[in-house]
Amino acid sequence: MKRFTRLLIMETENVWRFPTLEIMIAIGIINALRQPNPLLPTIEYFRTAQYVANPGWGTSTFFLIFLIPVLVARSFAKGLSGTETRVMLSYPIKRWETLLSKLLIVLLPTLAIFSTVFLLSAFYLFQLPTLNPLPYSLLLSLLLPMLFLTALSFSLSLIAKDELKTVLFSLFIILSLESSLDYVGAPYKYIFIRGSTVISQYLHATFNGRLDNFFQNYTTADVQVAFGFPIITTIILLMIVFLYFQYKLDID
Amino acid sequence: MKKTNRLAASLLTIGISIILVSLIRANPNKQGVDLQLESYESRISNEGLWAPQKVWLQLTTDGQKINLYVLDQNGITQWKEHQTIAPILTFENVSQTSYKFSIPTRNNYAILMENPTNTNVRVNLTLTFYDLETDLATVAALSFIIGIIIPPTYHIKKLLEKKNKSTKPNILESK
Amino acid sequence: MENLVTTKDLTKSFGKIEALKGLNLEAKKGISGFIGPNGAGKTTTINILLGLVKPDQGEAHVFELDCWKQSFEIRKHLGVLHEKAEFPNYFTGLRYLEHIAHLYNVPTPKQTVQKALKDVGLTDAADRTIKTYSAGMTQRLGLAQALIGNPELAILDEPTANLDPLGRMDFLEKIQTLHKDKGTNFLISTHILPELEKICNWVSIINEGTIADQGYIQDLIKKYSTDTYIIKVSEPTQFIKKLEKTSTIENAWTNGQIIYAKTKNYKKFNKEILELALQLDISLYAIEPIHSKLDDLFKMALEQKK
Repeated sequence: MKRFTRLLIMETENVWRFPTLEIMIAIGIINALRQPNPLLPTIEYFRTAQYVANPGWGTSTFFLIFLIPVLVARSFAKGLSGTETRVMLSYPIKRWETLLSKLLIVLLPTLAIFSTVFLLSAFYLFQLPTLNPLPYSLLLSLLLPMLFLTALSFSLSLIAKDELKTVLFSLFIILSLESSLDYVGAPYKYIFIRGSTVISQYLHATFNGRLDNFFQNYTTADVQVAFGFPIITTIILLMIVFLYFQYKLDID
Repeated sequence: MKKTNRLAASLLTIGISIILVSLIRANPNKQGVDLQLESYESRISNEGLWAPQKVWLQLTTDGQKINLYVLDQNGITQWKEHQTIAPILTFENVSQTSYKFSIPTRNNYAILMENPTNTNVRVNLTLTFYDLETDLATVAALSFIIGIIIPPTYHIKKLLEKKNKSTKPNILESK
Repeated sequence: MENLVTTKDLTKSFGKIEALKGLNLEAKKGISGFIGPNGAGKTTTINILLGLVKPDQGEAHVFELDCWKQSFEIRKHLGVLHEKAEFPNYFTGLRYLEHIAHLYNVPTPKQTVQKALKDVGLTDAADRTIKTYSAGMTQRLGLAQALIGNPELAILDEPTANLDPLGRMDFLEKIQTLHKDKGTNFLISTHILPELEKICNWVSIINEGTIADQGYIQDLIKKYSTDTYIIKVSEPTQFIKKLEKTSTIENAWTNGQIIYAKTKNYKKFNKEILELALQLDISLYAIEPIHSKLDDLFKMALEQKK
């Protein structure tokens, strides 16, 4: 445990060096707070509706499309392209510990930054009650795309073994995916960013007892795809990455 | 990068980001209402959570005079419970007014309109919210200032520590 | 445990390239050298010993533990300096070594790191980022991180690359001191053979993925002794004229005082020299072989393997 903690500290200092953390903080704050709300409704349902409708949710995901691959490339692909990973794995560290630390160090601080700014926005600017589950559950609409992006970038890092190629391939796949979904009907068009909107609308409706309103615009299949696709693809991709890195990959 | 410099950088970033966001949010934002007050009717409008900004209140009626009050949360509660209200702003017997004021804190406020006459009156009310939200601006300024102060404070502290070490007498030498 | 490192029929291919073809390496306690031409398979062997690469066939053991299955256990007692090692550029040297010391569970990390920096001459650069280090400084940092965990075996791949001559001498002395004081064993892969010769007790020579020869250095030197001899006589000029006509001599020359003679048949040559000295009534003081340097041993081992 001590060794794994030390690994986490090392990875944090390496990946989140100046000005990466500062850029992420700035992006989080600007996305969460830029929508002016000079006069918010008294009724909590309508206030939460405005919170859910904050365009900052969508733009945050858009920024993450660029930021997550860069972080993964810096943490993982760079080590594979040079001798950094070889040097690290010569220390008394297990392979899965290295991989897990890199994964956590990309996900946790990003999630922490965005959670903090959006929750502060919810509880202070929107004056939502702190026990209202909606602001917490809405973070899923950021977390699921984050997981998918991370899993995809890790997979591409193993293939490309190069920082720049990892970022470019990730961007190419994600942006192609997004634009091609314009031509695909529901529920398949909800596999990525559009799915985040479905997730947040569904959660809002669930916690406010307005599911019948929600299902006037969406179907159960839409919800299943919006939740299911990022979860299933993340699990599959990360399993492949872990198994390959742990048992098969020659680090030379 | 040293930890203190890193902390300073993070605080500066928070300060600058919130200032930027505050400037975006400071763009004038109009909330208008157009309604008809029945004779002797009192009605609340624009009730909600107001940001601590400057507000430009513009009122026009069809010529009839009305009373207009700006209520805070206490005032709203008093009005709902039919108690004597204590408004934060009062405009009595006005058919037209244009007034700029500041909201002190982020809280619930409302506009109360009273028609003291026995005829219906058409009212057009516009609230324009503008300027920096004071709470955000304060946090931004504090964060920025602390971020600027930390590195020189740390350096001065280090210099003083060095100076203290060098001026301490060497006991062995004096012996 | 006599052998620290043992491989048996170790085979590894990367696509069509056969890097190792049944390698049977041994490395004893002490300071072992691992030498071979470029592309011989040294780095691949080291990577297999570290559990970074899985062999296609064969076995590899360090401390009698399997290199692939028990790699983690092995690495707890191992220190490594890779060739062209890269360290995270934005760490300071001090900070990086602190992290490594903690990974090795060093009992007093701060003091150990300060001492390690002092030992490699990086105290003044401790607070600078690794990015600002010269190649030599990075190499010295590499040495520090390889030895900071007080390993039982330190594997050093081209450790004197990027070091100036003084730095190389320092390094060699350090290796010997560490081995003498702390009992640290070393496996050194290098091209700079004269230096290795001074400190190694065991050498393994690899070529084209197999061991060309290996053994204690003195045994190998004896085995590959050159067929050139020094002859010391009272009348060298007179002696050499007759010597050149003997059947066993390939070549003979003198610098005026000492005669050098090259032969392939030592026994017959020895007899002929004695007879010639008696015949000419010249005093014979010595017949001594010229011992091989490691360079020569290396070349001869490769040629013999071919």
